[in-house]
Amino acid sequence: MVELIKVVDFNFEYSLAKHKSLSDINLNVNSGDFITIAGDSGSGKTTLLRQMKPELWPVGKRTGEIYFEGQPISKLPKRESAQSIGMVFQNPDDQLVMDNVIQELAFSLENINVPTDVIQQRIAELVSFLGLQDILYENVQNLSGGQKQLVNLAAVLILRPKLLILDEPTAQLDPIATKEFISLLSRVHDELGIAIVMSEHILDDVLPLSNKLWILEHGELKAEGSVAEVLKSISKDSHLKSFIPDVPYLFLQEDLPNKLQLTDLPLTVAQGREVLQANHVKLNGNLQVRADESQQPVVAKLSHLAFEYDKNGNYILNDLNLTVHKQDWLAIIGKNGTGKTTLLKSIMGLLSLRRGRVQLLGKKLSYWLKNTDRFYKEVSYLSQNPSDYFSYDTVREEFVERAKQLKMDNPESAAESMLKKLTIENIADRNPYDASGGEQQLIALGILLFSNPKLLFMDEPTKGLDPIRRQELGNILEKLQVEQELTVVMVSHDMNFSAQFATQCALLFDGKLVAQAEPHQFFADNFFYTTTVNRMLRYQLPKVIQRGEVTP
Amino acid sequence: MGMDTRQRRPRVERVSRSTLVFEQLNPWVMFTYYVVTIACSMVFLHPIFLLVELLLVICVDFVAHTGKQMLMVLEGSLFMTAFIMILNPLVNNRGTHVIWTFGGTIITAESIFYGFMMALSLIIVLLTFLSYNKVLTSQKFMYLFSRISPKLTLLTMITLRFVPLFISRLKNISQAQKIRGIAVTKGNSRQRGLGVVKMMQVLLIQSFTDALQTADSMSARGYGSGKRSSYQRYRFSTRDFVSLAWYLPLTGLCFYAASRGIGRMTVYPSLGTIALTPTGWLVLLGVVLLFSFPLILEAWEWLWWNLLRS
Repeated sequence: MVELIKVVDFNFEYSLAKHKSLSDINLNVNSGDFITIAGDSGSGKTTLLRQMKPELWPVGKRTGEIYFEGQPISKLPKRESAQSIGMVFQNPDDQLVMDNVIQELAFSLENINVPTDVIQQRIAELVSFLGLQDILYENVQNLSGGQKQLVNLAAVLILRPKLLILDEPTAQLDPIATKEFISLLSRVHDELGIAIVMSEHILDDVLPLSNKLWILEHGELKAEGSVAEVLKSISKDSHLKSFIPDVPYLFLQEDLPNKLQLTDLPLTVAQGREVLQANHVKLNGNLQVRADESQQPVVAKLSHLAFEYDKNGNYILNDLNLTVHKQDWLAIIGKNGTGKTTLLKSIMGLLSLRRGRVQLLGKKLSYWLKNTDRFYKEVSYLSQNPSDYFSYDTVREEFVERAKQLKMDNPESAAESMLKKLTIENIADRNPYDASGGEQQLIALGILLFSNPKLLFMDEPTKGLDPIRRQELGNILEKLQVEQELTVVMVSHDMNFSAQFATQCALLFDGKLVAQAEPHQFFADNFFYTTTVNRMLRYQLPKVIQRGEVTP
Repeated sequence: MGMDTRQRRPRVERVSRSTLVFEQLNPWVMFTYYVVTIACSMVFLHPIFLLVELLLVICVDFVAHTGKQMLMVLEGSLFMTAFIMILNPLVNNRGTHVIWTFGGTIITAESIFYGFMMALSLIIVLLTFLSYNKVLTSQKFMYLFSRISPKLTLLTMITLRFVPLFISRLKNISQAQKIRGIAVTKGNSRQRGLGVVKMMQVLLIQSFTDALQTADSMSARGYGSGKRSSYQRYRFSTRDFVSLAWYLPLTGLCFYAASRGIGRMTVYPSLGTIALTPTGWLVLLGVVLLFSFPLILEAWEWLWWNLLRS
């Protein structure tokens, strides 16, 4: 086993920053490692990853040393670094440079002056390995998010790196694309022997592949070591334990590794169920059945909606019907590309429906579109990209200006209480663009909440959020639902979040909403499309859908 | 090894084959064509020249299969023509044939006519860019300029890539801003102006952040780390030489004629005659040949396959 990277007493401080972003880091990466880095947004994951790639060093003060194969990494020639250390980033779109896939692959090799015939050969073998032949001449802009990320990975692999660094590569992908990407990574690791260091928020899929886990908090290495050890050590930390995936979480919560004298901590559904069944473990379920709001007045009624983008295109929405009651929290679940965003945008009047009737708060959509000022105050929509909503230089200013715009009596104090409500007082004077994805989501939500909307539509609210922020967002919305009688309709592919918070779930498929039901009913009836907890425990507790419902 | 490479190379070429003969030429030749085309449309300010050029550019776009986009540009250009024809006379009072005066503003036939020609020339440039985008892929662009200035090429490529992204993003931002109560279509002109400024600010910040990641991804993959190779080797073939051998001298002649005032209509101070002299017609023929370069290649290909082959 060769030591690829060795980090010794490393500290880093961004220029103009007041505190260190990384402090006292000591680590090493061996060839053959598959390392996962976890930590909440702003804990320094990206900063740490970038230190291992000298071309991407952020500007700032660094002390300590990083070695690559025994040499200081700062002395590594650019070309050598480009070849030996590959990096894949979060956003699938921004990494693509050329017009089509084959050019994208060739681009990497052209940069390091590989002769034409060698390029040919390398592309040929990589394409066969990854199975890219069908999209080789496809325009990169026409690919799906998952395919784009695959191409980004391929464009790095073609340089034959020894170390592959990935910065939250699946944060923008849906669950199916995530699984595909990760299973490909395991092939890259197992078959090619490339060492992998990867940061992730959602650890369910990556931990079974990893041999080491690093946990970062406030720029410090909180825990480091084998996956099971680290999970055990953070299970006592009230904050960090939300990073533990469901299967090991339940085992650690019940203290089963000790009770059953397990040598390995189960990480997958199959492993978990096998251990439970072999040892005849009985768990208790305490279902948190959601309130039935069907007696409440109807706040949104959609009948026979139809939508198509082109005259002779496919129907994205086709004869879609939906009824939402006051104080409901409806989660519309579905794969990417099934028309979830289209549905929300057309309900908001941002896209024109081909056919159908939309009634919101008892009035027709056509009425609302004539009174848009009132409409957007009472019915709000948070898109997938929260930064679209920003207009000012600090978070506080965003809120104060919004309060002024709504002619509130005391804008400053209104802004203050909103900051408090959303638990983002600590970033009040920062530029909203510098906030992390989760914080941006809350800022945009805050802007919309000033007008006390009665109905809130959200598009993938948990995309790219770490588990801690995810939990916070859920709690805040739950509180609003009770206190301000807010009705929430969200589209999401996050099944765990929906199982935990929604009062109703429905599946969007083939342009229609199918199987609308209370979450326990909904997920227990599903076989494929259900939560990890349900999959592991359904043989003994068929209705349990989330970790909070399993009690000792 | 030289032979070897040439045999194994054709993968990419085979695909470009299916579209235009022009695309198989050396990128430098293509680039020359586009520079000359755009220059001609600006130099020969004469209604007959411009109309003929417009027709030819539409033909080139048509054979390059830019169909839908071309219709969109043409639709947009109607408004643009009208706009420039109205705006130019308002700001430009030169000319002798006064059509109308109001409140101290003089509208002259000259300025309306000049506006019309400016609009035509602009439309030709826009339409030229349609086929340019299709023909000069980023790989070819990279081949042309990355050796001259890698940094500038990187910058240009990122900028070009952003144009389509800009448009879709602008739509999303304007929707989001509308929902938070900053609208660009409502309120008095000050509010609207403020809304537009805000929106542009958001657009620029977002695009800039994304561009940084593109640049990171490029340098992480070794861009700018020294000498580059090219996957597709663009040789200067006989066909390229033959093409340039008539194209460049003809370009020289046409521009020489233009410098002597041939093919340029006098507008100010007073509208000249539209009719062309015999030399004028000759220069027009030259310009037609220059503009139809891709069409000539295509026609020759068609002739070869259909008539000459047997």
